[in-house]
Amino acid sequence: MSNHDQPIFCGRYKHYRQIVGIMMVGPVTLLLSFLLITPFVAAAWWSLTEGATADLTLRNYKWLGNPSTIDAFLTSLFMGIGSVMLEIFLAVPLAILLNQPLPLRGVMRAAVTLPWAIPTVAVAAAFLWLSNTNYGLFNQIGFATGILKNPVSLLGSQHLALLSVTVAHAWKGLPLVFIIILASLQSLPDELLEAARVDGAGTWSRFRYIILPHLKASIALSAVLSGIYNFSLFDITFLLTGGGPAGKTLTLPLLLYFEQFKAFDRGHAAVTGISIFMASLLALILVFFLISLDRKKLGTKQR
Amino acid sequence: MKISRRELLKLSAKGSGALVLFPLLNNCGLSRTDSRSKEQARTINTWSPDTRDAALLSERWWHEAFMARNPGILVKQLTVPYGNDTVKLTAAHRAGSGVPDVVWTYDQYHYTYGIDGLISPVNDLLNEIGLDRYPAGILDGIRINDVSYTVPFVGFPFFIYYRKDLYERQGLRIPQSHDELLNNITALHEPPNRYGYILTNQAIYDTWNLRTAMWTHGAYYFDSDHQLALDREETIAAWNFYKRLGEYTPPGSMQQSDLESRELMLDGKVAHMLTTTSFAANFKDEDLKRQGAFLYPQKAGARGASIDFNGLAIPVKSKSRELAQRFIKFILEAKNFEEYLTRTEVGWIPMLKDGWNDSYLNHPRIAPVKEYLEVGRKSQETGVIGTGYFGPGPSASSLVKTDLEKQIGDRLVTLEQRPEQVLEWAVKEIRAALSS
Repeated sequence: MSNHDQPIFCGRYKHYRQIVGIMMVGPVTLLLSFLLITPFVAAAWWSLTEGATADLTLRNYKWLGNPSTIDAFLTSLFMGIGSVMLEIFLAVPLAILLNQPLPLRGVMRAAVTLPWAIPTVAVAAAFLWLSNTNYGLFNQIGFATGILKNPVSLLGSQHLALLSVTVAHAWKGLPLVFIIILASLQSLPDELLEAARVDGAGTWSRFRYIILPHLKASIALSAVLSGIYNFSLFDITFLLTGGGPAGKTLTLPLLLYFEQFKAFDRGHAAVTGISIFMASLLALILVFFLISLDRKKLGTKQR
Repeated sequence: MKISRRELLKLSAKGSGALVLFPLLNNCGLSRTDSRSKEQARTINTWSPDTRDAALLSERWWHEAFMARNPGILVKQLTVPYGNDTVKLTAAHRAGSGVPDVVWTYDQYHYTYGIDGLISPVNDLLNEIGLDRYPAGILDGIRINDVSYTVPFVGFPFFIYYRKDLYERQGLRIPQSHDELLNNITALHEPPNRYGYILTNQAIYDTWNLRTAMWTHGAYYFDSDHQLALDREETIAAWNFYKRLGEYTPPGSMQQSDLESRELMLDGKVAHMLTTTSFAANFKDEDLKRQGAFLYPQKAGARGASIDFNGLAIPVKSKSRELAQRFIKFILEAKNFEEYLTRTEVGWIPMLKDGWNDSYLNHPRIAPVKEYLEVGRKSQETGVIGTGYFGPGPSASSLVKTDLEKQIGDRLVTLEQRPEQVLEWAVKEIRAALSS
């Protein structure tokens, strides 16, 4: 046995190992407790109290049945699911394309990941300019090509605003999904695709029976991460529409903000925060449950 | 008395310790607290919301002039933009720290801050400044139970800007009624090149169109006894009129701010717009030729357009109330006030009667837009501050917090709901807000 293989703490000093471990993990645990658990406990407490009294009540939770709260939940859900679907729909072909040996591949990959690096406020400003009814690029192109006869308000129309904000969410969230899927693609052995090609599998068959099953776990992971991210996203919606027009893009995070900082109702804001957390947690549990079911069906072991 | 050598040594040590520590304590501890509180007492912290150059530069002049007159007093200014100030002030008030000594008020905040206990009464200060210097209606419009919470200083009343050149070309007359206004709007509506009117409804401070449509039809939220009085035929008539205006507005304008809409008016994409005297500050020579102004039509017996002004208030938790009062009185001294008016945003008109003098009106910055300011002055005579049609009421805070006015506008125009439907919803919402 070499010196390197010998345990550092042995014999009567064995418990020192635990002490050192606690000393190393302790500060981080305390910091995380302070930063994560304290606000959560505070929000849970506020959600159970009303006004300045310390009496426990569930009255704040009744507010979750309010039509405007339900609308905000459905809007968040639409934005979460809609943007994830858009991101995956775009990221998979993009990742497959940029996994090929193309010229300037690095530059193109960087271009796709750019929205992730740009500050949200800049993304929002760009989108506001692009979608401006009177001076925006989208409308100008529409007029120049003759597609539009009257200007279209992408963010001011009750029918288009939600869709437009969802697209903006997807644009901002695309790089995360793209990177996860590209990384997964790079772990796919070339021999597998080569063997399929030799066996006469066409492009669609290779995608359907080799690439897609390989990407399944990455797609599920990115869907969960991106879904939760988009469900609880505040900044881009706030900057683009502020919840309008007529509350059509009012999501739960925005509702939380308005309840806390406009109506100054801490109880309602806390209940909204707790419901965002619970919805995200449920989504996470559901997706991991579905993945485990899928693995059982395939007979693979979880690593 | 016998003292042992040990006791003598102890006493000497204590004595010398005290001798050394006393001056140290005096310099560091106690006197530092003293000097800090003295410094606090000689510093005035102000919060103001406007970010335009002229507003900021004139404010700097005001502060420097005050400091020159009062050596040793420091004025510190912080810009807290419109809409953010309420949150910040409420948070500071509740935290008990960081509260300014002077805060600007506008719209319904002139009295809702007072109702919510954020700012203190200024009746004594107004008496010192001179109640007779103000038009009576202005002070009545912000007084709750004989208590005033803010000192009005510069105003921005609302009226309609219109395309004078197009009126002349098409032979249109200045409208005297709501129907005539709609006829003129229809006549000049040529989308997508030009829209007859522009409605904005982005935030609470963009809801003047709805209010003005209501006030001029004789509709109001609360009656003279502060009881909810929305369920009246005047409300339906006003909201129908508002919906009609929405038919002639550019797509998406309901999501825009008043400032964004001004760009469209200047670019010639809009023929009529309800906004304030300060729009005139944007005018170039060609705009002066083509932009006209008239008062919003009023039904017989109804009030006029929405009006607003900037007021100066002293928060309840101000640390230097006496200095804050001195600071406010300083700017309202006739000479200082005139100097300020000519330096600040063009179109911020004087709220004090003596501010309207020849020297002000003939100043090179003011003279070119004099006609617009005069229309604003007339609008001020019958206008309504905030939602206080019969003067401010204690229920106004509930309206502000629920953002109800903006939602009414959105429902009527963006969601295209019927006024009766919106009325039913609004009455329920207001009742719920009032009961909570």
